[in-house]
Formats: sequence, C-alpha cells, structure tokens
Amino acid sequence: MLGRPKRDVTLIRQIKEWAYACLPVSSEATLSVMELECHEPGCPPLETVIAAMEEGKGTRQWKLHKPIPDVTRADLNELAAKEPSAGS
Amino acid sequence: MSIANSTVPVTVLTGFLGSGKTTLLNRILSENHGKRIAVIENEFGEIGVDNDLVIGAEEEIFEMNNGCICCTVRGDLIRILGNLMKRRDKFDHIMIETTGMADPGPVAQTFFMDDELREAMSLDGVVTLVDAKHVMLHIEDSDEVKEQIAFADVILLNKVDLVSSADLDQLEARIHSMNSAAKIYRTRDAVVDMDKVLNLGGFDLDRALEVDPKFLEPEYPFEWSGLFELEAGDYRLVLKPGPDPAMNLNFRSASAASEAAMRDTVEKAVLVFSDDEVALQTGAVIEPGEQLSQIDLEGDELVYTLRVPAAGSYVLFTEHHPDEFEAFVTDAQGKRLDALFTREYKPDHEHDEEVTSVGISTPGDLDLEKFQGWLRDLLANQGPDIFRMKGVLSFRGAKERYVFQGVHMLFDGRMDRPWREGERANSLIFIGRNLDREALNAGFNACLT
Repeated sequence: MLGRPKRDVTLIRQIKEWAYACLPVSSEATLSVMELECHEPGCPPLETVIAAMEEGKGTRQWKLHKPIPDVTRADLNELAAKEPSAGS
Repeated sequence: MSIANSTVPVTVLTGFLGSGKTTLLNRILSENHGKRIAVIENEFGEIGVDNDLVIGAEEEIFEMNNGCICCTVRGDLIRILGNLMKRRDKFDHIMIETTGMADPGPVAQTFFMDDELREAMSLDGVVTLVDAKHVMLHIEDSDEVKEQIAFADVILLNKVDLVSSADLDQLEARIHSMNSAAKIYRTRDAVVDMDKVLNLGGFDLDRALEVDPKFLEPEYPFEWSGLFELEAGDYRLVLKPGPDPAMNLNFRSASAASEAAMRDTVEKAVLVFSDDEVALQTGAVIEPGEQLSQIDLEGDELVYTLRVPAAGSYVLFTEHHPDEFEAFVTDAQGKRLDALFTREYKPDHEHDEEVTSVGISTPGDLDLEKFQGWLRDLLANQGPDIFRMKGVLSFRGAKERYVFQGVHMLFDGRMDRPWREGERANSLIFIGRNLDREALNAGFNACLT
C-alpha cells in the first residue's frame, strides 16, 4: 500500500535465471535483484538493479531503467554487452 | 499482500568490542530456550562455541546508487543468507553480530531491499549492547555510538556494576532522549531474559505507543541546578560578569536533601522558566517560589541575596552554567557553601545537530494519497538523516491498523488487526539527526482528513 511494491518472487527468480544465462557471471555467484526508487530528476521512478556477488570478484552490478515486472530476457541480452559497474 | 508468519526472524546484534556481545552470544547459544539459532558473525574466531551454524562474514558494503547511503546493503550478507536459506530446516532464528565500527544501516537495509530475502526473513530487531562505563565517555562525540543507539530496538546497558546509579540514571535519560522507542535494560554480564532480545516482532509497535511524551522533549531551559541544605536567613549569590548580560534563575524549595527530591522539582522549574521574568538589579532579594528572576550581570560586583524563610532544602536553577560567571553561594558571613547535589542539563540549542526522537501521536484519519506524498518527499530529502521510523497509522476507510517500520529511505508495512473500540489514532516515531519536530508535526497533520 505504501512505498516500494513488494514484487512477486517468481519474477525475481525468472530475472536471475536470465541473468545467469546472459551475463558474464558464474553459476557460483550469488545474484540479487532489487528495485530502487530513484529520486534524481529525469529518471524513471523505479529501476532494477542486478548485483552479482562472487568470491574474489567483489560485487558487480547492472542497472535497467524499468521496474521488475517490465524486465525481459532481451533486456538482459542487451546488458551483457555493457560493462558492469563496481558496487562497492 | 501479507507478511507470512513463516519468515525467519533476524536479530542484529551490535555494540563495540568489549561491550559484552560475545558474552551475550554465548549465553544465547548455550541457554536452553528451545530455539535453534544460526549465527553470522564479523569477529570470527573469538567465540568458542560448538555450533555448525556459526558463519564468518567480511564486511562488504555495496552501494546500489552511488553515494546514497539509503541504497547501501551488505553484499556479504545477501550471499551468506542466500546460502543459509538452503539449510532452512536447521534453524529457527538468525542472529547477525556486527562489529562496533560497522554501520547498522546497510545491515538492516538488506532486509528491506532484497525481495527474495524479504519473503524468507524479516528483521526482528536491532539489539545494541552498550558498555555503561565506556559509553559515558563517548556518547557525545562518537557518531558510531550515536548511530548504534539510534538504530536499536533494544539497548542493553551492560556492566552497570561499574557505574554509580546516579550516573546510570543520567546516561539512561540521555539515551532515551536520542531513541525514545528503544527498550533499555540494565544488565551485568549481559544477563537478560531471552524473550527481551529474541522475537521482539519488528511490527509489534505497541512499545512505540508507550513513549512518554515528557521524555520526547528532554530539552531544558536551564543548564544547571544545585540543591543546598540551608538554615533560615540571608545568603549571598556572588557572580562575575560573563558571556551574557543577564541570566534567568529560579530558587525554590525541595522536599528533602536528596537527588530524587531535586529531580522532583525539575518539571515545576521548567514551567516557571516559561513565565515572564522579573528583572532584578544587583543587590536585589530573591525568595524561594514560583518567580522567574532575571538577574542583571553587568557591573564588577554582582551580589544577590537569597532569602531563606525556614530551614530546609532549596534548589537553584540557572539558565547558564554558574562556572561561566564564577558564581558561588555564601552565608551571611561570607563562608562559601557547596551544593549537596548538582546536575547539568543539556540546553536545547546544543541538540540541533544531535540524534533525537520525534514522536507524533494524533487522533484522526489519514488521507492515503497525501500521506504517501508527504512521506515520499520527506524520505527523498531527509532519508540519510532518518535512521529508523516506526508507526501505527489510521487510514480513512480502513478497518485495520496499518503498522510499518523503516530504515533510512526504505520501509515495510502491512495491515494489522482491526482497530478496537475507541483506539483509532496515529502514532509514529522518527529517530534521526537534525529532525525538525515542528515541521514533522505540521507535515503529518496536513495529511489528516
């Protein structure tokens, strides 16, 4: 009712599955998919952050400027061409 | 949308090295409370327990949005908790121990940010252990100490045997002024009932409703009070010029020559200090009672007479600290008299940058849209300064209470049980830095229908 909606976990699991398949992350990596409210002017109100935490590689993250339910496999494919940013 | 009862409760245990965390952890792990607890700890290797589920973590702060502390989570925790949930059948409760220097924010935020974790586990409470002796030295100048106090749901004031009861009272009042929603327990060797630290129920916000409104405003119009035991007669209050041209004071009787009796007069003195002052020049007579005297402090020789009608205990409240004016009290013969008890008060203006609590308690129904808009703007602008917030709200048209809690910009809430007869009201509390009490109240009230 208030604040950031709580997303259906099946959507998040689906995005993780695509991320393992499309992004340069090993199957050992822990993935976290989170939705952020962005307060910067000109930004969409919700963005999706995919973070990969892997031993020895630190945290890497990719961002999609859309909410979790709108993310598609094609988005993940596009992300694969981009350099991740360091999360820490 | 509901928060299932099957979520695993998570307790975050924080406190500086030496505050007693390891002692408490050992107790929790060895006591027969019927719960199986998985422990994630930063200070790995310090604890000698035979338990498969003690896991070491390396603090790995992870900013999802550059520079925004509200979007900072702990990558190491997400990884460890993810792995832990594969062994879900092995434990009933998770305890995360953090080091004294770790910011509790990212730890707590992890449970609000990651939806998969949100579904599997819920933040049950933040328990902060405080070394009573150590914290007295650092409470005013350490940001880490202040933040640990601000984030807590429960504060264990440990090692109380090393501190006098008067100092403990003062310390507890100071902690309460910073975080009035936290439960404070005084402990020795971290001995406390397990039900005081486990299964607090992050959403059981009744304790936020218990906040004593007097405690919410521990800002005093005076900086000092002293209790004197005096025979009938005239006494002299001698001062030198200082940083201020005048000073307000109240001289009043107390019921006994004790600290408690002095404390009993504080509330009345606060009321007197809100009255109009009576301007006095040097040489004037001050009698005990409900008068707010404003003594002039310009000139070389400043002497005022304190007139005592009958033998007994008397308290002098002064707007500024007497040391600023080298002030002292003498008897008629000029013999200097010391106060039996003194107390210093933090003036309100020194609290501006401080960690405080602002509680709002108002009857009436809220307009959901207005409230959403207000909270969104508030958190967008002040999220970094708001450490915790908790509330029970009454929305127009809703039969149930809405309960929520949050950390910085993130929060979680749900509809709770139906309101009972005559109970409907809004109650929320913000704990943070630079909080503007009036603006928060005005903003909230504008959301009422």
